[in-house]
Amino acid sequence: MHDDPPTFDEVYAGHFGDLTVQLYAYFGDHQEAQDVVQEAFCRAYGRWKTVSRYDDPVAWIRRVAWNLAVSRWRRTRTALNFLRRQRRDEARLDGPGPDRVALVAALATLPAAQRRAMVLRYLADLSIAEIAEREGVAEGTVKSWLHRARAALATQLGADTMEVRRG
Amino acid sequence: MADDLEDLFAGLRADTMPRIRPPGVDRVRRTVRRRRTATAAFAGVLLLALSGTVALLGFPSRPRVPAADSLPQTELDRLTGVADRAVTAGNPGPAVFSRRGPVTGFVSATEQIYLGEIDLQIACAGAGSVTLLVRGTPGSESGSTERVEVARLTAQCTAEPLPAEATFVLGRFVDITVELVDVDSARGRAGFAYRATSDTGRPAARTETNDPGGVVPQDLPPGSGWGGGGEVSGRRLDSGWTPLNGDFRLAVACAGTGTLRVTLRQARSAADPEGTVAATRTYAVACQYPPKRQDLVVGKIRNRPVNLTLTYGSASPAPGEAAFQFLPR
Repeated sequence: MHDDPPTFDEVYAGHFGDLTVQLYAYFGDHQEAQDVVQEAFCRAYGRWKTVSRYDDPVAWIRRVAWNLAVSRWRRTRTALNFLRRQRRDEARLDGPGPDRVALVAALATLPAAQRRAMVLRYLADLSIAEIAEREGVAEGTVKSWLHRARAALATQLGADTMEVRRG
Repeated sequence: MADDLEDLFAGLRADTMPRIRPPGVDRVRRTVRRRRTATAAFAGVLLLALSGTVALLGFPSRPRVPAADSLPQTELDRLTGVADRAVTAGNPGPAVFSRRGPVTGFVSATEQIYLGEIDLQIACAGAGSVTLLVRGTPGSESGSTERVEVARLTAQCTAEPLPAEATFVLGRFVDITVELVDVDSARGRAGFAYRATSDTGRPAARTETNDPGGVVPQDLPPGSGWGGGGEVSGRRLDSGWTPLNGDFRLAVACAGTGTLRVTLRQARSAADPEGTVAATRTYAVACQYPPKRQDLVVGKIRNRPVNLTLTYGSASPAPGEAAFQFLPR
C-alpha cells in the first residue's frame, strides 16, 4: 500500500509513452496502441481512489490496456480482426526505420505468449519472476518462452537483414 | 543476440516515443465526465418519457396558440386525427415513440433508442408540407458529440395523406432527437402525426451496463487466456488460431435479442497451429439486454492452438454485441 499515492497526472505523464510502445510492439498498430492506452487511463481515472492505492497502479493500467487490446469493444473494428491484421500491416507503417519495422514484423510472427514475454521483458523491464506471476506460469516456462523467442527473432531478423543487403 | 535485442528494443522505444501524441489528462477527464453524464442522461430520458405519458393523459405542457390566420382549432384537431389514422393504419404495431398535433411551429423531442429495426412514418393532413428530422447522439467512443442525421422525411399535407416512411437501426447512438422542421407552409393549416415501431420493442440505452465488454472481467486473474469481442451479425467473427494452456472456463456476454453460437476448435498440437482439428465444441448463449455474463466450462487445454468463432442469429436485422474471455477454472 502507498502511504502517499501518486496523482493521476503524474502516472499519466510518466507512463503513457512507455505503455504505448509496449502495446505497439505487441500488436503492431501504433494508433491502436495509443487508443487502448488512453482508454485504460480513462478507466483508471474513473476509479483512481482505488487504483492509486495499489502497490503498482501502472501494472493495473497495463493489464487493462492489454486486455482492452484483445478484448476491446469496437463497433467497426474488432479485436479479433486486430489480431489478424497485425500480422499483415507492419509493412505499411509510415515513417519508422527499417530496423523497427523488421523487429515489429518479427515479433508478430511469434506465438502470443512468447511475444508477450519479450515485450514485458525488454520494454516493460519486468523480471522473469514478475512475468511468471503475471502470466500465471512457472519461471521456467517464461525462460523457455524467452529462449524460443530469442532464437526465432535471431532467425527472422537475420533473414530480413540479408534481404535488405540484397536490395 | 541478447545484446543485439537489447539494442533493438531500446531503438524501438527511442524511435517510437517521439511519434506518440498523448491525448492528455484533460481529454481523459472530459471522456469520463461525458460517460457519467450519458449515464445520468438515461435517467433524464426516463423522466422525459414519464412526462410525455402525463401529457398524453391530458396535461399538455404548454397551451397551443394557433397563428392568426390559422384554421379553427376544431378543424386542426380533425386534421390531426386524419394524420394519426394514416400513420397508424400504415404501421399498426405498438409505438416506441410517437407524437401528434396541429402544425404550429418547430417541435423537438428527445427519445431513447430502441433495439431492432425502427419503422418511422409521418403523415400530414391539410395544406403545405412538413419535414421530420431524426438525428442520433453519438456515443463517447466516437470522440464526437455532433449529432448524426439518421432520417429526413418530408410529408405533403393533403386531405387524404399518404405517410412518408423510413426504416433504420439506432444501436450506435446514446439517444436521438426527433424534430419537426420546415413547417412554415403548413403552420396553422395542417395536423401532423408521426409514430415509430420497433421489431423488438425493446429500449436499448447505451450505458456501460449495456456494454458486454464491461461485463466480462478486465482485471484478469493469473492463468487467464485471451479474450475478444465485437459487433456480431450474420457475419461470423473468427479469432484465428491462438495458443491456450491451462484449465479454463469461458466468460461470455452478449447484448442483443438473438442467440450467440460460440464454436471452439482445438488443433491437434502446438506444432500444428493451423492444421488438423482435434476437437470441436459449440455453445449457444442467449443474448439479452442488458448483457449478463455466462460462464461456459471449457476444461483443460494443454498448450494447443485454439480457434474461436462467434455467430449471431436473431429475428431482428439489428446486430448484437458480444465479448468473451478465457478465465482459469
